Amino acid sequence: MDPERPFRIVTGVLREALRNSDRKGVVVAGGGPELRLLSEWIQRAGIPWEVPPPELVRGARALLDQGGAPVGEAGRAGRTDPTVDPGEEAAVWAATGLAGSALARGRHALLVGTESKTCLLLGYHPTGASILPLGDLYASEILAMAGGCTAPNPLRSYPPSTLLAVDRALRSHFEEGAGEETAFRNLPSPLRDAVGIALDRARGFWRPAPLIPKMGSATLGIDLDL
Amino acid sequence: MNELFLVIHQTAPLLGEVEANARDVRRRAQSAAGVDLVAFPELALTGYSLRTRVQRLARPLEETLSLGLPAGLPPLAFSVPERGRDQLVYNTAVLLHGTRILARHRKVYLPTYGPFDEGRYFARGREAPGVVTLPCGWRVGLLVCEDFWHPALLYLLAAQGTDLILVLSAAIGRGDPGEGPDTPGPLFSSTRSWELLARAAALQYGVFLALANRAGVEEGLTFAGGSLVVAPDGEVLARAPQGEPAVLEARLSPGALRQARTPFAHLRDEDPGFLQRALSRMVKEGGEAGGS
Repeated sequence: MDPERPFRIVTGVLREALRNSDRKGVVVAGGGPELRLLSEWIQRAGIPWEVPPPELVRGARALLDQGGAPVGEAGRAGRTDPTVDPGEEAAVWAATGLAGSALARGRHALLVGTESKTCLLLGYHPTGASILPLGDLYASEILAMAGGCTAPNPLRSYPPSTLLAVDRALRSHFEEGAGEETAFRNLPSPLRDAVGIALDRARGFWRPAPLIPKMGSATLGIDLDL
Repeated sequence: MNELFLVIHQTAPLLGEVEANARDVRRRAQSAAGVDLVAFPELALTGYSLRTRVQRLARPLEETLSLGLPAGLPPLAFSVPERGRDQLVYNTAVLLHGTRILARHRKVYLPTYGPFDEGRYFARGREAPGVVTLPCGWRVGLLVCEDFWHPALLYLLAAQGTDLILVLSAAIGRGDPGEGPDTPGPLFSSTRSWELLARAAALQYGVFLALANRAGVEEGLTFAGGSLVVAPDGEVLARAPQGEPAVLEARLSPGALRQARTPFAHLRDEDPGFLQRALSRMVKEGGEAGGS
């Protein structure tokens, strides 16, 4: 995928959102290759940006631990590293979101998340970002542009080629109108089951999506709900 | 009939900022010396994703059009949220010449699917589009965006003897254009469908067809741009870039109309009476298109 296309669309939407909200910059709460890619684009577009510093994330984590905020495994798609505990990862993610939110409020900035469409479809629930600039790009598209990507929980122990197959199936189902059975029939059985469970779970937990720049034919929050 | 000099302003209106958009339209219109017709995209004065704001922004047509334009400008085409005498709000394309409204077309087909919800906020136009003769002698018919995807309206304009069908649109971009000889631009594949339809309609009816689409971004939607002018032989005369403001100029030759209609008798052989009888029978019998 030519990154110039998503760059133009994403930064156009960010500029419009900043103008409409009378904010001067963005705070990016996220991680992994998505954060790297998105921050490159934002930097190149000349939009002021920050990420929450580690001490703020640590403070937010302590606050969450004390308050017993409900941060469940279902709340967060994981990274590709299968050794990372999903619960711990979810807690780190929630803390990043909370720290980002605090920083954005203090800076009078827009809070921006880094989730891909794959992660959104398979179970991540937005926790406060106003905009998900990468939310209409599949993880495999991020992989092609950034050399890496965050995979959702059901795929964390599979090789990247699996990601391509799952994204193809998701695209077939959500954008080309194929039924689930048809779209997912070529996935190996355990993976097919895991994807099905993740989709069901995502549907169960789904809330209205933040603003997602439209690139494809079925964009979450614009013309698609789970 | 002389050549028609058409200028399309592929603008990026700011949502809800009527004053700023009107200033931009005024500035552009004032630079139109020697032009026969100036076109702006759908809802160029207000922006597109108005939702409930249409109730606040809609005005009777005569009030909406007080743009403070100096005399002597060519006819301008654009669309506005119109408060009708029935107090309903329409998405109305107007052809304005000085303070005179030469033509008006209320959008008939309001997209209410996928990312669109126009049917919630606008009333549907109930009149067939008409054809008006410009001071330069050319006959023009107006359509608004989704209207263009309904061939009956194109037919109605062609059957009334239009020389130019002018479509004002706010078409959003979607789909990766990929690579290859038919790639419509770097941003969206959807432009290709608009171009295909435009070329087919121009060829089918032997008319010029101009699309004035908008650029810019609103609430996550990027408007595709890609305005274009197609000749009666189906060839693209001029094409604006995708996704960014641009000015598109085209000189339309009456000779091209004659040439297109000489070898092909499609327009000559159209028979509205035949169509009327068939439709009347179909409606009377409660049938549907394609029924026996």
